Amino acid sequence: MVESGGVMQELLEELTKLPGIGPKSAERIAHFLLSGDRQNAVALADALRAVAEKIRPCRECFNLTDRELCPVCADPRRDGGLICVVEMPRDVNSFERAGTFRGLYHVLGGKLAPLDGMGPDRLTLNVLVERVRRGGVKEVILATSPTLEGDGTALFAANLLEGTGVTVTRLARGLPSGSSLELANAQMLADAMEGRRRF
Amino acid sequence: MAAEKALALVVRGTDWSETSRITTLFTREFGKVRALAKGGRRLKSNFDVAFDLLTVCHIVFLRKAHGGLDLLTEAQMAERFPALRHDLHALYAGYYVAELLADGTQDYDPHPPLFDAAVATLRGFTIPASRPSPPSPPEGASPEPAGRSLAHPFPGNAGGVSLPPTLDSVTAFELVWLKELGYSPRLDVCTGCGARVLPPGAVRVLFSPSAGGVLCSVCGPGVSDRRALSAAGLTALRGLTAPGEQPPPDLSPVRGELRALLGQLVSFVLGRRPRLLGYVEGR
Repeated sequence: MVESGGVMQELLEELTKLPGIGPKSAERIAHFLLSGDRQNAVALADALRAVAEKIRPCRECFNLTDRELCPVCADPRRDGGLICVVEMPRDVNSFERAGTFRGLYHVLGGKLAPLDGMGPDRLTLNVLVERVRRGGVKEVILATSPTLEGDGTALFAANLLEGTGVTVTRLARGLPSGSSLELANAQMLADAMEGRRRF
Repeated sequence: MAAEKALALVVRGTDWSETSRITTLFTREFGKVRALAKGGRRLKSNFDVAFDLLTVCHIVFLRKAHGGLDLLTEAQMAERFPALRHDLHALYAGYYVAELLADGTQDYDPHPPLFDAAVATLRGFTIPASRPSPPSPPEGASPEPAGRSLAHPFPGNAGGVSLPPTLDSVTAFELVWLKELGYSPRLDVCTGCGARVLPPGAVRVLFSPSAGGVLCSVCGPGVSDRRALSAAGLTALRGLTAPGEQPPPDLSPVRGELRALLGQLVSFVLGRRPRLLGYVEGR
């Protein structure tokens, strides 16, 4: 039984605020932290504090960083003529894990979802346009989700960038590599057929 | 729990846990249904890609006996509307249809004609032949730098000067929505006293959302939310609502007037201004 109002209760309440953590999971995590080396718990607390205090959006691309510029924007070897527009900072991580893109990113901070109150003014679209207007950008790759809202966000961004002279592209879609046609759904096949390329 | 089958339009969705999704569906057979799709976010699931917004799908779901979320067990995409991905006017109009269905109908209150009207509206949007050119700036205005403003990313919506024809489909859908909900405006006689409202030679009448239709010159002044409606606007509205009368082929002369009136009427019925109304009308 956890004492009501005590520090343990406080920890449980904080843990249950995390996504996917209910009261039982919170209790399990709390007991795990206390049962082993207490230094692990202190290290976790320090890491959480450091993240909360130091992490902020990159001045240029809005990726998360603990410096003025994120590592990608600060890297002189990256191609500044290519900007890959993504919805969230975690999307940057996905592309970086793939390791094939050598340009820069721009994090919108979400997607255009007016039904949920997410209008264009809440995204960093105006900063994207400013970046393009500053010059040096040859291509903007719109890498928003392949959903109606993601496509709508891409369409909105493409309309904003029209007239800037920059090439605007959208990520390809269709069959996932390594899968089989048998497992593909109708939409994947339709997308793959529509986006086929010369062999 | 009995398994039910339905044809559904996805009108709202939110992620739930790492792999599941809560979806609001407007079904032809049962009206609005809110259901949990366990594993609905996985690439390989029983749900195909059916839960993207404004997708028509065949669903199988387990109806909960005592309220709460129903449980989706299967979904297969039946139809998507490509124009929504190519035209912002169409996309916003589609979102508006979704908002009226999701927020303006009750759970398990079926309206097959409303479902059909929603699908017909979405189906009616066509992919523009080419991307429209940027609007020319108003006279005297300094030329805008390359790129469009955030407030008006596409032409034809700045300040509502030129309302897009997409709005005519929206107007027609709103009238079906109002009719199905029992709020179809009365346009033949005064809602206050039953008198004839458009005597020969009259150029405008009064209309009130709270009164539910047109008002005569005697009853009208006493109603606070009254607004003027031109004779041409009234004729167009009658044409759109009465099955026997033919609507005018071109609504452009009264489009702005009808939009303002229906926006007020829909807001009255919904109890608030629809979130998407400003987007649809470009304001």
